[in-house]
Amino acid sequence: MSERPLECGDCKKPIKVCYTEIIGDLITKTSMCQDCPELQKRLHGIPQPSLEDAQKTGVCCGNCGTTLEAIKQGSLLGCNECYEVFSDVLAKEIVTFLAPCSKVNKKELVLHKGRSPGETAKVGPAFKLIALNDALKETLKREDYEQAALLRDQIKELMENNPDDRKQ
Amino acid sequence: MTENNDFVALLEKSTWKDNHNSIWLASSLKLYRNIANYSFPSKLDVTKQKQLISVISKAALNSKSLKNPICFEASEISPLDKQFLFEHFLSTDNVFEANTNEAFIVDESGFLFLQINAKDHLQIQKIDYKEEIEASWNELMILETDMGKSLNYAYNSRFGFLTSQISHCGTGFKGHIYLHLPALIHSGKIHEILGLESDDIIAYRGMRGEVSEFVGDIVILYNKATIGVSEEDILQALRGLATKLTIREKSLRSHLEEDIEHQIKNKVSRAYGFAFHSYEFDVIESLNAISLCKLGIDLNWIEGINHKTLNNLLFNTNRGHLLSLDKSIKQEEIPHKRAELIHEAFKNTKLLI
Repeated sequence: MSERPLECGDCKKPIKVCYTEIIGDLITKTSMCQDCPELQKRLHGIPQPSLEDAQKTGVCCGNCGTTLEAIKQGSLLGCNECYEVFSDVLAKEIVTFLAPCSKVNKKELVLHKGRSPGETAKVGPAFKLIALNDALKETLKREDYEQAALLRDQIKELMENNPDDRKQ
Repeated sequence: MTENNDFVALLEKSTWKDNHNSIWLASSLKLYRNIANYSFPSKLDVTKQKQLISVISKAALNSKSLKNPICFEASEISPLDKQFLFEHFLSTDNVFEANTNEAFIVDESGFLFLQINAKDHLQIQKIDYKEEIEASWNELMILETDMGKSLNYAYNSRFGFLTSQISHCGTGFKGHIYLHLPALIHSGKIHEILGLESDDIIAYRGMRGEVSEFVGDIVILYNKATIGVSEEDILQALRGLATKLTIREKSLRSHLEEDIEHQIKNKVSRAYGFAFHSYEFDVIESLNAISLCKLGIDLNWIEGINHKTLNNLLFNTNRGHLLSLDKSIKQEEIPHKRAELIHEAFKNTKLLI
């Protein structure tokens, strides 16, 4: 079975082209999408744009040479500078990707909500208790009293082992 | 650097073999990190890649969070050993992807796994089978923080931890929970339940990435959002959905409707016959048969075998594990050897329906 080129392993676009190369007895088959830069390179020998050219048009990262075009085609980012250079494009893409997530506030400029380096606040077993309580409410709603009894026992055991969580 | 087989011996001693779980089979939590002021691995030259292996491995090997860690470069191990490693750590990364100057670190527990210079400079992973995702997260966070004392992680306040894939930036945290839900799946209720219980942050898929059918009746829950949410949000959402699905599965197993029970009895008895008599198995066939037999155990339709043995088989029937048991097996013999392994596990069993 033909494989995507190694360089294009993360491209999610549908495969449109099957490229077969025969050199002597060796036959290599590669599958690519129609926009694949690797395909263009193999067909027409188009060189990659030089860093200088890309810099002139202002659409690439000055540190690693990653271009906006490559990012739009699904390539990996090249360095942490890319996040500064392409910040608005990346923010827009993140917001689009997160559109179905109602819990995420997509209008905020600062998207990151998690910890920063060095923060070490531990997570306790409270989530287990919350999840069991939610599941208990649901089983009672469904009148599954057998499961509800089992859940109640689990909650009781958890609270006995973690008395601090009773306050929650 | 270490002998090629040291880590295989280490991992074979690990306690995946003590997994008696019926429904919540495993969890995998992963952190993606990069080191500031170094390009990400795809753009990094060879000298700097080697430099990073040295810097990151030193930070890891000096950390008290790892017990007797060993570090080895990917070039020092065979593709088969790499496949074993990836299977053990439930990795969905492409085993045969050529990442240059990649290194791995495992420790004595067999549950912590560090990858250096994959798509990001550092991936730290904790796997667990005790449903303790919060404790696993704490362990992961402490290791990451410990290593962060000598490493400067790439981070900014807007995008959080910076990763080569923007779908991983922010918390740089991906959690996966592996649930075995054969009753929900074979009764045709799984998609209805997943629709009812869905959470914005959490998505689901099968072992092969599919969403329409689930190989081995295993549903994998994972967070699709790593940014715009906190680590606590992710853990709470994963825990909540996994708990609800587990309860639903248990409820259904204890109250199968008559027509569904007949259908499932038929499937379980066929899977049992398949497991007992097939001459060859491919991986998907073996996962599906083992899955139905696991259900059969819980419904008291099969005796003489337990979840621990079958959970172990879920790993050992994979190619990397199978070949690590006997390196003399030829490629064309693998399906038959897989069948032999399954026959051995089932030899003292009895079907009661």
